[in-house]
Amino acid sequence: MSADVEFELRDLRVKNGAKQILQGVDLTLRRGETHALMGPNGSGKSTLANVIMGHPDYEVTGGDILFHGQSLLGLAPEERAKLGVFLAFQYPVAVPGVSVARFLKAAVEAVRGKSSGGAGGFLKGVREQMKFLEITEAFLDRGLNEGFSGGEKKRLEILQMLLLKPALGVLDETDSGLDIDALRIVAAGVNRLRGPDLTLLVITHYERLLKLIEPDHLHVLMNGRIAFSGGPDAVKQLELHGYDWIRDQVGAEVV
Amino acid sequence: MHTLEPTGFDLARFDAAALARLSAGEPAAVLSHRAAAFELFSALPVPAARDEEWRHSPGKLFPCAAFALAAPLRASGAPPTADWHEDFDAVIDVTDETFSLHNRAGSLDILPLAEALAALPAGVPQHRRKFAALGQAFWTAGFFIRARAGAPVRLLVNWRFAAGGKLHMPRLVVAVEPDAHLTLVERFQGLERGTTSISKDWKADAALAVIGAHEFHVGAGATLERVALHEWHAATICIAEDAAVVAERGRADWVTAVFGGRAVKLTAGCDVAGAGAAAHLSGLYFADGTQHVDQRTLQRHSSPDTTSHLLYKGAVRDQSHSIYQGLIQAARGAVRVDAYQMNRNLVLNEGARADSLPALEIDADDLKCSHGSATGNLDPEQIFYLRARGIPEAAARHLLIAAYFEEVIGKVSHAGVQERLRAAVAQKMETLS
Repeated sequence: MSADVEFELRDLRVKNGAKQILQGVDLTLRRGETHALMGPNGSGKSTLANVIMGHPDYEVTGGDILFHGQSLLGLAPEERAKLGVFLAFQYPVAVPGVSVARFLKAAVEAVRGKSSGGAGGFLKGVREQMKFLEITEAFLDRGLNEGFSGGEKKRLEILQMLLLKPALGVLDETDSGLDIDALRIVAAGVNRLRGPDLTLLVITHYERLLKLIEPDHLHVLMNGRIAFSGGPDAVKQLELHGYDWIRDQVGAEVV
Repeated sequence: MHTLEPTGFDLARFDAAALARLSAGEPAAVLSHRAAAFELFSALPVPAARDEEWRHSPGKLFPCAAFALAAPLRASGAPPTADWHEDFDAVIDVTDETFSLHNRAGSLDILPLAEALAALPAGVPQHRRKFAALGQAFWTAGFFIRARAGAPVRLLVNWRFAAGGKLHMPRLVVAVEPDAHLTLVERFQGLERGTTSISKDWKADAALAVIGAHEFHVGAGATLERVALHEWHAATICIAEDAAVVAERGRADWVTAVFGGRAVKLTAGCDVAGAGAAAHLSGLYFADGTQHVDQRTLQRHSSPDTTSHLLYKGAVRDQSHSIYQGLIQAARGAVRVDAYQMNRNLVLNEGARADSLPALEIDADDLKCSHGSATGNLDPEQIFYLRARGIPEAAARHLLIAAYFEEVIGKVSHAGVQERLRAAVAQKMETLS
C-alpha cells in the first residue's frame, strides 16, 4: 500500500435489516484526489455514504473501512467526524429549536476545539463563508434546516464542510434538487476547499456536477459492487451511452 | 388514622366544623363566603377511579387527609427576597404561613382575599369542580388582584411552603379590567429538598400538600399573561384547578411548567367567552424518577368568533408517568371558532410512560377545530446528523431535548423566567445518557 493512500474500502459488505446492500466494495482514494461515484437508483450509493459515517442502521458484515490506515468500523460517528471525515447529507434533517448559529458553533467546537478568536472571531469566519455561498445572515437565527428549500439545505451542508475543513469529504447527491445557479454556488464552495489536504468522494446521479467539480477518477456502483472504474474521460462516455454502456463493458452476468 | 379506599379520595375531614375552625378570627362575612363555596363542594361528587379523568390519578397518590391544614396567612413585612423581583412592579412573597407584599404599580390593587370579598367578580361557571370548590371554601393563602387600565404591570407571586406535613391552599382571584394588561408570574417552590427515594408508601413520604384554586377574569380588550412555574421538591403532592374567562377582544396567554412534585394534578380551564377573545395555552413538563404529572386542559368556546390555541409539550424519563387530557368545547351557536390543540410527548426510556387523551365536544358547525397528539422518543436521524458533526451522542440528545422545549419557552416574555426554564430542563437531563 502506498503511503499516500488516504481512504480505502476493502471488500466492504453491508446489510440494512435483512437486505444485503453492499456485496464487496473496493475503493482506494489517494490524498488530495477527487473520486466520483455514480450508479443507478438502488445500487447502494447512499448506503455507502452512510456507512462511511457510521449510521447505526447499517451493519457491516464483512470487509473494512480504512482512513489513514486505521479502521473506522469500531468508531462512533462523532469520533469519525473528529478524525476528519465529513458527510454532506443527501437529505439534511431539520432540527427546530436549534439555531444555525448555535449548531455551527457546537459542531466546530466538537471537531476542531474551541477557537482562540472567541465568539466574535468564530462568527466573522462564518459570515465570510456564508457570503461566498450567498447565504443571507438571517439564516444564523433560524432553526437548523427548518423550512429551508432544497438549495438552502445543500448550501448549508457545504458551509459546514468549509468550516469543519475535513480531510475526507463525502458528498451524497449534493446536486439533487438544485437549480443551475445553486449548483454553481455549491460547486464553487466545494472547489474552494479542494487541494492536497482534501480527499473527496462525490456521489451523484448526474454528469452536470462533474463538469463543475472535475474528478480524477470515476467509479460506477451497480448491485452493491464497483462495476467500472475509469479516468475522467469516462464521464463523457457515461453521459452519451448511459449505464447500458457499463453493462456492455463488463458483461450482463456481473450486473 | 384514616383508612383509605384504595382508589378513592378521603375528603371527609373537610367538614363544616373544620371550616368554622379555619375561619375563627375572620370577619363573619368571610365565613359566609366560605360556606357558600362549601355548599358547592359538598354537592359535588368525590372524584373516583371510575371517572375517566381520574383513572390515572387515584386518591392514594394524593393523601391530602394526612396533612394538617395550614393556618391562614399573616403579614410578615419582610422585604422581597426572590429572584427577579426588581423586574416586577409588584411582588407577593408567601413563605409558609406568612406573606409580604410590595406594590409599586399605580394601576394594580392587591388585597388579602378576606378583605376583598365585596369586590370579587362572580365566579367562573366551569369552576364547578370538586377541588376548585374545596379551594374556594378552605383557602389558607388568598389574594385578590385587580389590574386597572393604564400602563402594563408585572406581578411576581412566590409561593414557598415548608415540607412540614401541612396542607396549604393558595387561591388567587385575578381581575384584569377592560383594556388593562397584566403579566403574572407564579413560582411554586418547596422550602427544602425532599427525598427522591422510590417508595410505595406515598403517605409516609409526602411532606407537603397543596390544593390550589385560582380564578382569572380577563375583561374586554384586556390581556393577561400568566406563567405558573411548578418547582416543588420531590415530596410534594399538588392539586390545582384553575379557571379563566376571557371577555370580548380579551386575550389570555398561559404557560404552565411542571418540573417538581411527587404527584401533581393540574386543571387549566379557559373560556373564551366574548367575540374576538383569544386564549393561548402552553405547557411544558419534564418528569423523572417516579414522578406523576397529570394535566387536564379545557378550551371552552361559549361565544362565536373566538380563538383558542394550545400546545403542551412534555418529556418523561426513568419510571415517571405523565397524563395529558385536553378537551375543546364549542357551545351551540359558537360559530367561526378557531380551536387548536396539540400535545407532544418525549418518552426517553422504556419504563417511562406518557398518556395523551385529546377530546372534542362540538355543538356547532362553521368552525375550524383540530387536535393532535404525538408520542415517541427522539428522532434517530436528528441524533445521527448531530453526531456526524462531531457532537457526542449524549450531548446530541441533550441538545435535541432542549430544542424540543424551546417552542414553549419562547412563549414566555420574561428573560429571567426563560433562563430558569432552560436551567430546569438542563437539571432534569443531568444524569441522562
